[in-house]
Amino acid sequence: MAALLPTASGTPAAATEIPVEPPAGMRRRRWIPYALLAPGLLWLAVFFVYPVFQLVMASLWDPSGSVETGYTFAWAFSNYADAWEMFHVQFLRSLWYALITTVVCVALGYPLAYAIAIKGGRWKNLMLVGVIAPFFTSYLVRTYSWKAILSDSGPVVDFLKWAHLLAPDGRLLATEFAVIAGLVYNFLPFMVLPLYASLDKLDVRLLEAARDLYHGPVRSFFRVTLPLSMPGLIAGTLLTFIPAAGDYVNAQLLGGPNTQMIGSVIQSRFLVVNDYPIASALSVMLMVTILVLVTVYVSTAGTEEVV
Amino acid sequence: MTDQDLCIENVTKTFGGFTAVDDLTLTIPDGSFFALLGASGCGKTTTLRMVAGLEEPTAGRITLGGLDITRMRPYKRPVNTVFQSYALFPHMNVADNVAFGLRRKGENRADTRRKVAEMLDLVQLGQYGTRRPAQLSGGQQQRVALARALVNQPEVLLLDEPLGALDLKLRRQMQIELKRIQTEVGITFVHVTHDQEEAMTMADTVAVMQAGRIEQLGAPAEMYEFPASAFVANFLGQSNLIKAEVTGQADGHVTVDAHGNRLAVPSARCRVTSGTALLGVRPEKLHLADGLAAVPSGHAAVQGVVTDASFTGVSTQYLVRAPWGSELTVFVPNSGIAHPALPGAEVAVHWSPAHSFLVGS
Repeated sequence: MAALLPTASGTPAAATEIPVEPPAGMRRRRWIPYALLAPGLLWLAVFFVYPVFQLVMASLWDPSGSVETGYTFAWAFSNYADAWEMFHVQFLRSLWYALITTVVCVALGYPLAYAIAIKGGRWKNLMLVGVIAPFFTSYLVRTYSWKAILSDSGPVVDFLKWAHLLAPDGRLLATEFAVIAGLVYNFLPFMVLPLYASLDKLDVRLLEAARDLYHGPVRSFFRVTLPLSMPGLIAGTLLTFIPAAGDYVNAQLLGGPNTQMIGSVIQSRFLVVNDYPIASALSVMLMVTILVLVTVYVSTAGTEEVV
Repeated sequence: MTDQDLCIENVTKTFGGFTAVDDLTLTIPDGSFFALLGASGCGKTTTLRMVAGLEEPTAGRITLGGLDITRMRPYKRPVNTVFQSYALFPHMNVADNVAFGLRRKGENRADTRRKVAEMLDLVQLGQYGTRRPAQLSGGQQQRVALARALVNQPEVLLLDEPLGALDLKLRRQMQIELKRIQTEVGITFVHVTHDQEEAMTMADTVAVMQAGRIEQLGAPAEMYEFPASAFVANFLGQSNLIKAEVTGQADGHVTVDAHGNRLAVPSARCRVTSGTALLGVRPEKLHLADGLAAVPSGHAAVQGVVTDASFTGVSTQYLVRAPWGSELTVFVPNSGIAHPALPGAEVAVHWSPAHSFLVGS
């Protein structure tokens, strides 16, 4: 889990000191672990720590400035209040969409990962390739093709209209459904892969033991399979929820004005409206909110120490 | 015999083209300690798994106390298993592992806690309730697995090579422990093992299995003294088997010709009474004498040359080459009476005919 947070990479086990007095030759090489860490730490400092610092600074700039006249730093906490005032709808919507996406990904991804890991047999690798295959195309291209699939004159809409599941003037594009469907499609592999890794390690003899001890298939699942796949489930939900909450491509390409997510707001504030302080404040709010949610989630769901 | 006997009737199990269990019929009396003994792949574990409900027989019937359980789901059977790998739940502590079955059976909390504590005391793990399985040694894990199954008070406890992963000393200790526990709880134990010594030490009744069938079934001492076949004679302890031709029968004895030696075997100890057979004697029932003249009257004897003597502490194990070329194994107890024979010495190997047996070749 720690690997998900970039800042955590600064504390590897390699840096721990050896308690016994090492021979002279080894003592001289004590700097090696630090030397190996240096490029990574430098990279993080330049491309993560500094930009975040800049972002926090920008969120406190005087809002009366502009790109033309320049900005001044002013501890302007009012930017946060203004940002919330203007965009709390999109902000909450993003978290809501991310939550739905995560739930749908669990519902679709768990059975899939279970089938591949437990029942996959010799098709295991082929099925895994199938899960990863979408990554061979660019994220943007994949989402564009969804636009074509869900378009008003596309086959899906035609079929749904024919089956009377959609009103004659109904459409899929620019609806919540389209945005969430796109998010689910794009993040499903991030749910399946960690779940697969967890379930693949599951000893099927434990399920036999559970059956032997009066647990039917459903109870065995909830008392044995699910708890033992928790690490994968936690990793999968984080890998789905976090990028989905900040995503703007799906909302941009598949959504409409009523399905705008915070990612697209930030994008347009920065690049279209050039309102840097508000855009920065929104970014910081999103980062902090996700960090808090994830911390609470991991500490409640992940208390069970799983071997 | 009460009515809670476990009966396996004409059970066959095939996997694809391979027959693992072949028309097996077996009755395991209530309250007995029964061992299924055989080499790996003989069908003993498959038999056990069919009783547990983890495999379904291809044909035949399994009943427990008259109740047909052949197709009953495993979680509905009054049967529990101690798995070879223990299969303890790694995400639960020892007490929760042991309580796993009881909680499902709807026992109330106080009863569950009391029974778990009692059971952990029985397997001498009273202090370990809050540990995780990974924090225990192999022997302790094995006892948790035993407690987890026993606490449910099943009609039958199935043990699938439960001591296989333990070292020799611990295994001996657990054999005695298991026997004690079985006597204490009085539940039918069906124990699968490939270790003949383990089977003989622990079980009241042993069934030797080979190629999906039962080769012989009986009390350990009975089977050891009078094996039904050459396979059992070799699988259960060691045997000297000498090829012999039956020549006739006279006053309660079958006479045979073994490489020119005329030998007699009591008729009651003959599985075959004609044709080519194998005359068997256990190594500890063979004695050494300096020459044929020193052989006590009434004993059968053959001459030979000592080729090897290994001192093992309790006894000295000799290899004696008979005139026809094969070697006989002789165990001489280290009682301090006889002087040791040296390799190369000419000796007479002799035995009481009542200790020999005749089986088909």
